[in-house]
Amino acid sequence: MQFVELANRYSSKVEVSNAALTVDAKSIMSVMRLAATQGAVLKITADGEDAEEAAEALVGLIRSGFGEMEDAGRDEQAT
Amino acid sequence: MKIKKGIGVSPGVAVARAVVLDAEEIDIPQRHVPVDHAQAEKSRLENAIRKSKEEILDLQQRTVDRIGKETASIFDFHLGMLEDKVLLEKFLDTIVSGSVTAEYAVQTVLRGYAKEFLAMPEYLADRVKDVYDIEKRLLRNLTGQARQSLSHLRQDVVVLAHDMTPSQTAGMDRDHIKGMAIDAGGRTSHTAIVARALGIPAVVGLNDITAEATGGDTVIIDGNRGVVVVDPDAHTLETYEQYAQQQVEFVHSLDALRDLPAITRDGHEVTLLGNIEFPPEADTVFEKGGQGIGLYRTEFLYLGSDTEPTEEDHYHAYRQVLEAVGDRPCVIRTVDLGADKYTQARARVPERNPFLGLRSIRYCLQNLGMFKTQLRAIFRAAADRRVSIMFPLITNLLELRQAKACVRDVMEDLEEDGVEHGTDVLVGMMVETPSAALQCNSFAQEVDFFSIGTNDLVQYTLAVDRGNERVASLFSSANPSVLRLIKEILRAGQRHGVPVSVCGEMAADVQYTLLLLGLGLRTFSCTPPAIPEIKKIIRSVTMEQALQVARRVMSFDTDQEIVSFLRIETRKILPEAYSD
Repeated sequence: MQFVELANRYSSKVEVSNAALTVDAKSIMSVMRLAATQGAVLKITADGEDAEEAAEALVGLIRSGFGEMEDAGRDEQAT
Repeated sequence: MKIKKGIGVSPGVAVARAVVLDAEEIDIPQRHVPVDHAQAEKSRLENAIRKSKEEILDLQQRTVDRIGKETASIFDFHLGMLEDKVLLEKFLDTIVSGSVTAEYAVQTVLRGYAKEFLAMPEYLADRVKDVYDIEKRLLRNLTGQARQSLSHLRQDVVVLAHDMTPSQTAGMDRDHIKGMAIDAGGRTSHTAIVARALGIPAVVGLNDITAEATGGDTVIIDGNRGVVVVDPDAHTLETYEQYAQQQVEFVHSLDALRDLPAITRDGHEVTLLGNIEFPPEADTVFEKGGQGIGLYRTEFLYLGSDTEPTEEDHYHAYRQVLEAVGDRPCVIRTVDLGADKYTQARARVPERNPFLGLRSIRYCLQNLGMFKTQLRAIFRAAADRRVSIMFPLITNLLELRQAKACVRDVMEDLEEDGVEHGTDVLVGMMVETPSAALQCNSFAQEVDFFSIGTNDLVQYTLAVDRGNERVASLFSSANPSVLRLIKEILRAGQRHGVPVSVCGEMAADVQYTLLLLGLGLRTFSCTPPAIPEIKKIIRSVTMEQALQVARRVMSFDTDQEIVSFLRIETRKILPEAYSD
């Protein structure tokens, strides 16, 4: 949720991919489909006016170990 | 066309339009709209989304106020879904490209996601609940809510649901419901019991059939093979319609056996009785050629209604059954509640392991008021005839003696009060726990009869939850340890002159008849629709054949070998019971 909410704050088009799929990072249902679990490698692509900030912010969020997409209380280590 | 495999728990074939229920019994009636309605449907959807968002924001605020921010964050996902533009696009595209209603679009798209999520790692799969929740909310805001009632249907349907509760099935329109397909459940789930009693095909353990079909889809339910086909193509449809016709003819041929005795080719008599849940089913037992009632499950008096039944309620039900039965045998089992809404709702603290908890006879012995009410009603209803009372789930002798003491107390009270009551009462017990089976010789000296409850006996002996679709395949009546116990119980019965019957699902399964006969069983009690087929196989064999089969079976080590062997032997004698 935090990931998607953050992505929605930027005007640029933002996409996130795993090895198999590329989806719209602003869509919670699409991001869920990545089924990203601990240790997954994700690629973030942004295109637009605030593209750089968007990409940085999202990578920062993952690296900081957000509790998104899982039960509260579990930390996820970013790769 | 989609083909799904589950567990066939009630035989037969049905082809009909589907009614798909979610947990709140909401179904989607209409699918298509004229092309120029697309815009109107899109607006309806957008309004429903807006309304749903308002509801959730409100709920969220109230949760923040009353409980706290942390908890309120559970609604974030719901809001995220309602604001998801990709999701909205999908909804709108579906409406336009399929010329369908907003309801249909919502259901199809969300169930598509649900299906994907179900295949994910656990904590992601949990989100499926939220998806179903949003679906319900959107549908409620679209249709202004019409709860699908299964009690008044205008056309023949098959019902697809996540699970079916006793209260749902109690109110079902029996004329129009032709089959059932359920996500949950194993072989002896409630759905299975009801479907067999109604004589309609049912397939359970399908996991996600409710995500695969929508209201109005044509669905084939093949209870023989445990297969469900959604939206069959023309060829499949035709094949199945022919197959369904053959099934109908087979069932009719069995009806001709009704008045013939259940006697082996070499003259050994067997007693065939019926299992019932509701008084009207007593007549069905006799229509199908049964000779009496081997198991009257009385807990339905509690499960079918919201209030606790009074002594008069009990009395009327038992009176109705006993009048239908006349002077034929009738075994009334005392309440076998537990791990269900009745006992769990009344528990001060919900049990962590209800199947091993305060249920059945234990519950009764700790709630003597309720227990004695039932016993009184049974005695009064049997004033002018013999009746048999049976206790479920007995695990030790003390329990049995306590229950028998209650029976004596009730009889004495009725004597003192000068109330007319039965005096010809047989008291027996279910043997359905390993402890009862292992101590059967001691128990045999203190009861008038045994009835082997194979469903629970298998469950407890193999430590398998029969309702858990993840392990349902481990549940097997053919397990050698279970068969050893059954053999012991039958021997104890013979040794002590105590009649033994089998009233579990095993008695209704034609593949086990030879084995049970060979082990010494002479009384079978099963669901009425199964009686003719069991009678047919009994009439087609000699006891010598049955003994040989039993001997071979007891030499095998695994369920699989036993099932294969029994299938081959049974097929030789009753080829028409096999469709492939």
